[in-house]
Amino acid sequence: MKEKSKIKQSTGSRIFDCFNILFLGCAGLLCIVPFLYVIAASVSPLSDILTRKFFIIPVHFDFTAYKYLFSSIQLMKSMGISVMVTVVGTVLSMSMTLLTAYVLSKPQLIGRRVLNALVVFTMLFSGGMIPTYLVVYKMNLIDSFLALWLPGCISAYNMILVRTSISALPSELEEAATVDGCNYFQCFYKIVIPLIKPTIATFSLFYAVGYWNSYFDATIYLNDSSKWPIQVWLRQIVLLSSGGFSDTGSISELGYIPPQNVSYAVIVFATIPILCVYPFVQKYFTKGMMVGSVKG
Amino acid sequence: MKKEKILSAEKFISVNKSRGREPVLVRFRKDWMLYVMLMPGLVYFLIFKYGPMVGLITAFQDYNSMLGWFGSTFVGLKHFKRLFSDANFLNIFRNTLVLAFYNIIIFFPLPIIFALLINEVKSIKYKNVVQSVFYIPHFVSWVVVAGICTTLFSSQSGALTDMISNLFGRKVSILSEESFFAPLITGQVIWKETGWGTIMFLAALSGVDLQLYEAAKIDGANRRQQMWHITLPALKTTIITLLILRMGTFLNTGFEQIFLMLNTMNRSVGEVFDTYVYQTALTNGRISYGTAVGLFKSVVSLFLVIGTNKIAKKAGEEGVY
Repeated sequence: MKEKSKIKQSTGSRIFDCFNILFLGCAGLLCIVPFLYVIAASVSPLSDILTRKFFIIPVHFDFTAYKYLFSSIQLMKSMGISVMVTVVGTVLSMSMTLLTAYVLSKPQLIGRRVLNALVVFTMLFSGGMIPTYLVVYKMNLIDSFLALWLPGCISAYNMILVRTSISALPSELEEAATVDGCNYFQCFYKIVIPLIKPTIATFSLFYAVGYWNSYFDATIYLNDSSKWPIQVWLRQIVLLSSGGFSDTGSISELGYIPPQNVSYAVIVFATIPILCVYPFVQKYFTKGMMVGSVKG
Repeated sequence: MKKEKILSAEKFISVNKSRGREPVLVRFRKDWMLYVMLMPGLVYFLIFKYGPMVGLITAFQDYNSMLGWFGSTFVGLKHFKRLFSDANFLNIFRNTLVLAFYNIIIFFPLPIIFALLINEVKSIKYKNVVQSVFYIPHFVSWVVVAGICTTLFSSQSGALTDMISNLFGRKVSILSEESFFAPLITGQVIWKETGWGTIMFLAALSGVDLQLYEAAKIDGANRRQQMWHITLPALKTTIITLLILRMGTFLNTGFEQIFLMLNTMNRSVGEVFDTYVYQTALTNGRISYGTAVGLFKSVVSLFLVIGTNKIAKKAGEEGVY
């Protein structure tokens, strides 16, 4: 609402504006303060953390936690695994989603209504954790990265939103391309994809975040700790350094109890990549989501 | 050559328009590429979404991984009978309901309130900054959230432990005391998802005709009245849609989040259906029993969605399907 009204604002209305801006500002701060604390703690010496000398701004600097992280082959490798899982998974999920969404948006598809209903039904009812595990197990995917990519490859919800934004494109474009001799795949590749770039950017980010953050799938499908992504290690390190036991009940995977500032540094590691990509994609959110939210 | 192509394209388009009359086989042959493109997605849904649904027969068998689904003995409703007489069952049901109610009553309205407040901000720049910051927590994993919580509240070395203990006047340990479990879980959800939750409502609000506000102003409506009579009704459909969808996940109560916050001290209030499934089937190896617990949960969830959708439709709203 951009308004340059000549009607004078009432005092109550102006007080509300001030209060509102202040309130939203505080809420915004609450969203990022925990990160600031973690970042500050990760570059502080252990003694400062234990005596709580600082909150947001560190008093002394000490980078041993990061030195330690960079020297740990295991953790560096798991960062690499996380990046690999995220990149391959996102490309795979996005291509599958786009392909399926494109086909299901075509009115001439035989059985289109039935197929769409089949997809919607998976949003309302699912086999659940154990039967899914058994399917993955039966396909011999345990301890394979495919177990992280395949079971959740297409999100029905994302697929429906992408389908809606494809349906919103004027059909004349594809008709014209068909006249010029394009087949379905060429239409998809040369017309549809370039036109829904904001949608692709948005949903790629969603998939990427999902893969980067995935923790539980890795714990149940990957027994081999050398294949664990960073999130699983983060969990073990946080548990151990705060004085508990790791999920696996032993400390053998790392071989020792890491000091507390290491867990702060790992939290930073596990968060930073997503926060780096976020600002570049954020401008597409509302556009991508808005197109999708038009009822279809 | 070129003429031929155009002719076939014309045929293609005219066929497109009168599809219904063509025999199925002709349509199939014409659009074969479409079906090839459908294959990967179809196979995915059949194997990984419908496969597990077929696999639900595990719940009616004494599943033996050597024999598989086709060799295991069929035992009918044995596992369900055991579930209903399980001493843990009522406890799990109660824990799940408590968390779900906290979620619906405390968390659900917050994104709506925040969307209304953000909508009232006049400076576009400030609005954008606030939105960008609000969305950030959504992109952080539950492992990180749990990690931050552990480091902030751990009874030995938590950064906020002293402050909270002073506040309560005794030594509290938020991570392990039973009475703090539901508030802790709800607090995490509020921190992580409130900002992100506003996006749907803000998208709905951007579609509101500004003339409505102008007309209301001319009629003498103040801002509170405008909010009450224009903005809020504009959100009604979105609110109801999201509420119906939320009912479907009512019993899911954020499995990964709870799984990460569970420990031996708070298990009596923190154990919910999904964590119980994990515990019985994957930790204790009672595959069939775990599947039965999961199936019970899924069926109840399905009925909750259907029920809410019906009620919404009766009340004259558009349902989800």
